[in-house]
Amino acid sequence: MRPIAITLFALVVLLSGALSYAQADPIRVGSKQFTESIVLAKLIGYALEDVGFTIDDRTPLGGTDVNRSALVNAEIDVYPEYTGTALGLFFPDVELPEGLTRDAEASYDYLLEHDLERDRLLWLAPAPANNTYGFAVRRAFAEEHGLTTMEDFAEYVNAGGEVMMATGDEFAQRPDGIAAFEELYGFELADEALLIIAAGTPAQTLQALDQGANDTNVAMTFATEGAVVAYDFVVLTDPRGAQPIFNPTPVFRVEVIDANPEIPAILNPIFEGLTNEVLQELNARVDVDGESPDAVARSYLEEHGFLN
Amino acid sequence: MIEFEGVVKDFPGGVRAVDALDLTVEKGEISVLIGPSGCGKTTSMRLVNRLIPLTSGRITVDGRDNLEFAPEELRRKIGYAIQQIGLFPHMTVGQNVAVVPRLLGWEEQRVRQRVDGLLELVGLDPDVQRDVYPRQLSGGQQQRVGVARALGADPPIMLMDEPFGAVDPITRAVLQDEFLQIQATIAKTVLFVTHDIDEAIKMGDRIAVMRTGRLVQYATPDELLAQPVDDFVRAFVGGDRHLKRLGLVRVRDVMAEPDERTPELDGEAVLEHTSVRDALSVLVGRGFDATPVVDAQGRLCGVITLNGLRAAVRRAARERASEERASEERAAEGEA
Amino acid sequence: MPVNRVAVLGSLIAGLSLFFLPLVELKPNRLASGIPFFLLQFEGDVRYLALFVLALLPLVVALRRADVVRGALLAGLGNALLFLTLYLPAVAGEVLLADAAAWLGEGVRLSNPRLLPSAGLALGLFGAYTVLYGGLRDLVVAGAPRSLRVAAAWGGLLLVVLAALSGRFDVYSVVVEFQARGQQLAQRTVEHVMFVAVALSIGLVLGVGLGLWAHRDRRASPVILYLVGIIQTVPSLALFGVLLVPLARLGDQLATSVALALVASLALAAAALALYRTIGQRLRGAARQVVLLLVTVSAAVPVALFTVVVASFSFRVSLLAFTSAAPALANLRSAMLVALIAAVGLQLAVRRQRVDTARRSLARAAWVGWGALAVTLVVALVTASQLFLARVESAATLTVRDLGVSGIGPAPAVIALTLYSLLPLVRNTYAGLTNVDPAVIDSGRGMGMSAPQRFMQIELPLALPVIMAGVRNASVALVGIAAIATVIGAGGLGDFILGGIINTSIDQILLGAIPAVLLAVLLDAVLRATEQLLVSPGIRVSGEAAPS
Ligand SMILES: Nc1ncnc2c1ncn2[C@@H]1O[C@H](COP(=O)(O)OP(=O)(O)OP(=O)(O)O)[C@@H](O)[C@H]1O
Ligand SMILES: [Mg+2]
Repeated sequence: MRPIAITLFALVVLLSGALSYAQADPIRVGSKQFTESIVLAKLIGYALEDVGFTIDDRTPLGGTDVNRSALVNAEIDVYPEYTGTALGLFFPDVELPEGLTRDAEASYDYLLEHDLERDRLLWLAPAPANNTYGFAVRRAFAEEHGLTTMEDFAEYVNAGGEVMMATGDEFAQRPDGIAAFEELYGFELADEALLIIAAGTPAQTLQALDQGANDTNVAMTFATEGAVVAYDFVVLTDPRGAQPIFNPTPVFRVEVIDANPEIPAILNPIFEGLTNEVLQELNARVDVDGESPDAVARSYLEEHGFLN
Repeated sequence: MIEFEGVVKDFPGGVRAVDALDLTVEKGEISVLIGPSGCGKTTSMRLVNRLIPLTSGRITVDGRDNLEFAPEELRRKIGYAIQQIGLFPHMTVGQNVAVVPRLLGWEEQRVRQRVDGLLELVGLDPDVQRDVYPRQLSGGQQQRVGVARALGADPPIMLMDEPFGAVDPITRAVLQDEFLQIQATIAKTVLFVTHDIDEAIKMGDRIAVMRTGRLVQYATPDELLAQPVDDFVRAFVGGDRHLKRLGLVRVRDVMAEPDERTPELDGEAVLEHTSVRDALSVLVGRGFDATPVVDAQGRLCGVITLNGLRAAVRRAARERASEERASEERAAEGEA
Repeated sequence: MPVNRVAVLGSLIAGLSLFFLPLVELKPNRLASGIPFFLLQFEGDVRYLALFVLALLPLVVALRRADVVRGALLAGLGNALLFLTLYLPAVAGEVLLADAAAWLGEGVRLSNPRLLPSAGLALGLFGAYTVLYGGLRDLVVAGAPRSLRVAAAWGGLLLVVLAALSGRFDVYSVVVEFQARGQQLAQRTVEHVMFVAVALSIGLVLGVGLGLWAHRDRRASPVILYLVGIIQTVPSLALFGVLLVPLARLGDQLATSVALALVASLALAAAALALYRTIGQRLRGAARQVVLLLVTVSAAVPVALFTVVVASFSFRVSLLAFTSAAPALANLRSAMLVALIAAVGLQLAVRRQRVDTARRSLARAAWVGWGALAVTLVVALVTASQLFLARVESAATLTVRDLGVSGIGPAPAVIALTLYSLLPLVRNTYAGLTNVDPAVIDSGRGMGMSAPQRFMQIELPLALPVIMAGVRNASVALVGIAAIATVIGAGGLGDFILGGIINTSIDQILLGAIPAVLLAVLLDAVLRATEQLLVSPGIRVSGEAAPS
């Protein structure tokens, strides 16, 4: 009964033409479902709201594919994407230039040009943070064995050190995952040295490391993962660049920027300040301290003078 | 009055369920359709209120072709008690009986009075049974409700498809007696289906015997028993048809005046309105040639003997036949 | 019945787990694991041991003669245990939290430390409830007065709620989580309810319609039942993927042109049907199939379009009606609440009332209450739809997106949920109607009921218990499935549940899961009550009627 009633009334309303004035279209902000993406989207949203835009908060929206097709189909206007993710997933039928994904600037330039041309999407200024995959260990463990870089880790492994690494299945199996590190740094992890968690996220692998399940002493992580702070872990650095660069960047539909050309000047300074350490801290405040992403984003913007 | 004129019913797939049926149910009478299972009794009945369409022929109801009525209107005018009772389980007994009056838009007050009246008529206590649900009733009570529901809006015509089929013989006899009593006052035109010859003889003013869709014989019970038209009817009414005939005659009508040979009155005298068939059973059972007859007050009023019975039955049959002829003539005169 | 075995079992579970398992875990922050604490470790020892004693007391009581006294004692103990199992660790926890730094040591990030309830506490609660249940059974068997039974059933829970409201449970991690993210909980819950309500209402119309069709048309029934069965097996993620692009395209269209397309395809369907009626009977084989297919498809297109628009629009509008802060809507919501309470109260009074005339007038008053509720609901929905459409400049530029249709967000979620609700609804409607005794329908025909009268007065009431069982199945399932809506940004309690899974935050998961479970239980209770109201006592079965 109700849908019929509603339709009838909707029709009446339409036909009577008694429709009031129009507001400006809101900016629809999406995000992926993990903390960092949500926090970045909230940063975008609150910064724009502060200068007078209406924000339609669609966070969290879903996985990468849902966000991307929502953006391409003009269902949302912006969401934060990572350069490395975009190059890895959105150009399946294109031969990318050799070494492109390990060069931050080249990655960005490529996306700026090709995503605009092909899908009419505009990449604003990327954040310097590089949310790449990496290896995390307990601080005590790192100190005991003198581990700071992946080179140290390779040495430890090759000297016969015990390893039990918690990892998601994708990272374990993809050629650009663990295998890329092994090849570049010259070590090899036996199958028995991997504790594979199906569809495992860093939150889960780090929890495994924290609880020492199955004698885990290494865990897959994102470089900016907040939980790393909570557990007081160390992320080993990747000086030789085994991983693509993952700079978080606001990606807009170009029509939105054309209509509101002031947006880049508002968001670019904010993103330029987002380093690994900053994101780690923001993520930690949500994941570890239990603050809401909204509160964290607002207070960050306030503290850094981005809100009037 | 219901008249079938050359009625034919073919079902898809080539089954001829009713074949050239001619039959008239007189106003105020009970006509019984009888025949073996599958001979087309239910089908014939459902043609009357157009639950199924007929193939050819004509059925008139109180003189009007039943095709002149809208089907729903027709059905509301004709009381129908179906073979499987078919009470509405989600309605109370009262609501079941009230269905047709409500469909006809009767006022609530009138409906309520009618329901209570009908429940009393069929021997149920309105205050106890009106508001219970069918599943709380016994089989016999359900059949009574079925009859009450068919009588709902006081239809002049009733179709009753084995209305007392689903109960034990004793309850059935009670229901039959009660319905005959009711019929004595309300005098509906009833088309009554059964496949029990005893029920047909007891209930019917006339009996129509059907076989594979055809009407084989249509006659009064006595005539049917006395003169079955063919072997089929003879077999159908049974080898004891003469005994059954005796069931149609009362002792009162055949007894002789008591005389000096009449045995002493004792506990096993027969009542004057028992059937001759039952009286015969007493004579045979006691091994006597004669037994006294008493009236309702227990006073000696006659005697029956085996010899007397034989003669009397022949006489009674002759008299009844001539009486009927006379009344038919009277009716014919009346119409003219 | 000698020993109350249920209570003995509950007592053993509670006693053993409270004594041998850790009750709570002191966590330094939301993520990191902490230190488990046992009952014996709590400061002020003796007081807490009372809990252990309390847990074992039912063992003694259960041996008594079975009567009201035993039931009352057991229920009392169960309730006390239920409350204290939550309350005492919270009291001890306050002390622990004050000293958290000392307990947890250096090196961990100490922020918002909290108490995670552990196995001992969970099993303790389970044991307590089992004892309570044993007591309640005694009370029922012994025929205790209703008031005592109600008090026994809800007393402990009431205490728990009161303590929670007064902040005594603030140490528990779920409560901490609630305080950090709870602002969204109400909104997400309303969204969740709306998903279920809208999907169920539309699913009901479609499902009963399809069930009816399947029942009427013996050739169509296997196809219909097969198709709704297939829908059930499509994973929700795949369904969202399939819906995204077409819905986004549909959203871009002008409402007027879609309306035209709707009318056009209906006209096409009518024409094709007319064609079939006139010459189709004589067509053979393929030609006949083609015409039939044309009829079906051209009828299915507008039905699908219409459903999509109606589903999306009703969701947006109902959500607005129940969450908008606009004063008009807030007032209407209060009015609705009043009408609801009045109607339910009167309805309950009708059941109690034995005097016939009073009963009738009460029933009439109850209907007025329900009517008032319906009217306020409709007015609220109209007001909300005006509010929702306020952005639109004119009917000429109105796009379908303005009506709420979009490739992501609530539209695909509601549509997917509607599709998922179809199987139980169609199947039960079909089964319910098909199982109506043909003799009963036939006697309805014989009484002179028209086809619609027969459907409304006989078939529907008789099929209702089975249909209602389908509605309950569908609604409880939908409460669960609606959690997936979060993956296309539609909100709902899934935001907490899925977010919690991704973050491995059990607190966040519980923050979504607990309301979802309560919702399912509540919905089931409401639907059962509705069923009691609608289904005739003449066909009510004490047990379960649904073939499922
Ligand atoms: N709807 C139908 N379709 C096809 N054939 C039918 C249909 N209804 C009845 N028949 C056939 O018509 C014939 C007469 O059936 P009907 O029900 O009238 O028998 P009946 O005399 O009432 O039998 P019973 O004493 O068993 O009730 C049977 O052969 C039956 O199979
Ligand atoms: Mg029959």
